[in-house]
Amino acid sequence: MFSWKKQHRSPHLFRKLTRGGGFAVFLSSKIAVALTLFVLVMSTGITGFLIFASHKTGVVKTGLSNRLEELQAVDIPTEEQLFEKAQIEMMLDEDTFLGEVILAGYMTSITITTVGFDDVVRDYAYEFMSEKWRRAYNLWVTLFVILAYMVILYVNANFVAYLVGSRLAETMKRRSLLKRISKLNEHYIVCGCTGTGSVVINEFLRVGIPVVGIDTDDKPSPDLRRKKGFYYLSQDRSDEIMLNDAGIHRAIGFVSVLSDASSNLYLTLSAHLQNDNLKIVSRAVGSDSEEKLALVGADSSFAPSVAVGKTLVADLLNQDTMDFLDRMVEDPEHNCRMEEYTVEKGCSSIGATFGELDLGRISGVRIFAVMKADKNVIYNPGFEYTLEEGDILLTIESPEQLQALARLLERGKRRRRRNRQ
Amino acid sequence: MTATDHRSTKCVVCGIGETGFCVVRELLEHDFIVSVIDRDTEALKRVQELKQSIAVTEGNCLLDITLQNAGVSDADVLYSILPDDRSNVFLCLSARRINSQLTIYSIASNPSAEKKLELVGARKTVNPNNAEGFRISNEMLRPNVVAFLDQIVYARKQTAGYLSITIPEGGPSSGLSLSKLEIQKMTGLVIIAVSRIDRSMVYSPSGDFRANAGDSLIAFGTKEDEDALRKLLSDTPERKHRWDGVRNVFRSKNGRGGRI
Repeated sequence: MFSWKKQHRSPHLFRKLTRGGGFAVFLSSKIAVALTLFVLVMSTGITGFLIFASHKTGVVKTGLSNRLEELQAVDIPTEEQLFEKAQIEMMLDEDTFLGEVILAGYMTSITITTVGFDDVVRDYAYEFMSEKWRRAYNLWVTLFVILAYMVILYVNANFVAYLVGSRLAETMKRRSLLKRISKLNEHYIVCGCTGTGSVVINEFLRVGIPVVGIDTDDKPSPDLRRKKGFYYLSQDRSDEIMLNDAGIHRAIGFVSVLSDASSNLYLTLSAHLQNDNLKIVSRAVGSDSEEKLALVGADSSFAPSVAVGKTLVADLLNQDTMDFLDRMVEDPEHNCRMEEYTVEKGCSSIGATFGELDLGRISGVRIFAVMKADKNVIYNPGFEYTLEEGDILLTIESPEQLQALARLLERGKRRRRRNRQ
Repeated sequence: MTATDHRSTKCVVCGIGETGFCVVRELLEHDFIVSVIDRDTEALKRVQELKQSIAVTEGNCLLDITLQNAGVSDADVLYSILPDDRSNVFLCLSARRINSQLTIYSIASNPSAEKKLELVGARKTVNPNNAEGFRISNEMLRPNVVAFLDQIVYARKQTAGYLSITIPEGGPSSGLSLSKLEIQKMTGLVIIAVSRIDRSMVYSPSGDFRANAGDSLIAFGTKEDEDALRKLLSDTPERKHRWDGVRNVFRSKNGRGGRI
């Protein structure tokens, strides 16, 4: 499959375990080697200690049966002797194998974790053991402790590296991010979060539309990442999963401004296939990109150079207007843009005149032009202008004022009725 | 506003990359006289395919001699579209020295370069990222505004356009609130913004905004609207009388501490 994502990323434990086919990759990771070594050293330890523990049990049992024989030889036993006899019989009857395994496990773990060395064999059975067994035991403990120490160092180092490398933290972060994204609705998705992408994202955030940003290699600036309503997904999975994570089914717009022509094309196609109601604007890089993008479902696309060229020449053609617009965009005090509001079917203000609605007085809205449904523009509509369905009201507003205007127009009819009474 | 005749405006475009090519195409569409400079013969050939009569100069546009050969000394507009900011600054400076009347446009990929370019005499700089970003977001959020602005900016025959009328010094209209001026009633114009004398802006001014002499009222309208507004703002005897009356009412109210 064609993929524009960064190749050769170090494998991610959680993801590799949870995704089919990734297990082989997981086995080759350092943490897997460490785990295997840990299991090996544990089993070696348990086996070794088990051998010595069973030997010890054997030795102890021989000692006990000798004592039992001694006791049985006594003709008239005292009460104490009878009690001791019963105890020994009970101990000899016990099946001690499970106990020995557990003891061996305990010895192994306290040894390799360097918690302490409680020498069960030495303390209870050393004097019963033959010289051969004592030497074997001492030698084995020496070798095993050194081996275990080395292995545990390796395991510790890798485990700590895994935690510090915040693979785990990243997984948790991503999960919470995906959860928050899954709650979004009617948001925009922007591919490419630097340069042009960041300008686009800022413009969307300005009007309060949430944005999910996706980027291949460049991370968005910290300023942008801190902004409310912006969710950044780093690109490390296949495109389809990525777009799905970004909530493409609930999104209303998709912008692709990557620098690579084929990536733009591929993402546009994927996005269009997953949601055909999406409005898609894509950057056209190179010749005939525009036609190709239109073919795969982009609503509009243009080369970066065209936008720059148009802006440069527009200023020469109409300096005053462009200056006015530039000053508006750059103004640090006011957050205004030239905005539009479409009077949709069923809006309760249809049929009302501007005079009746009294927009200016209530929300400070000044509608300087109305674009009719057939794109004809009526400049400076007067108080007697009657709203029609499909009218597009043009005004200069901040996002808050635009919302106020929308509220006002929606409840228009109710106001009028009250006025008549 | 009427359609301006560009046939006598001479533009020099330096640097024919993708962007330069788009600028040339755009300029030709509006009948400017275009002359181009570039080092690359292929690029120049590509431009000549657009229109045979384009004057092309092959050479390094950072050299004064090349600029002079391309006729910068009697040009009106220069576009500096070189790939890096340093060359753009250098080019702007040399062009400004050759012709002080030149209007210079440049691209600037860095905000700090923008200021430097404006310092060496560029009228306006365009950041490619911003130009593209704003276009995309406008296309997404407000496609009809884009259509409207294209109509205003690119239209061959402009019927209506941007109007900016300064309130005359000492005229009767200065110091009055916008609702008292009755602009919408008398001329039909909707004032969308006021540019204050200190270059600060007020957008969508409310009715009780008081405009002073030197402030500019901004609206979209026809040439007739502009004339009507200008007439309204300057002295007309009976209106002056009326406004004086209004002003006296304000004064008396003010004297009693009343609200206007």
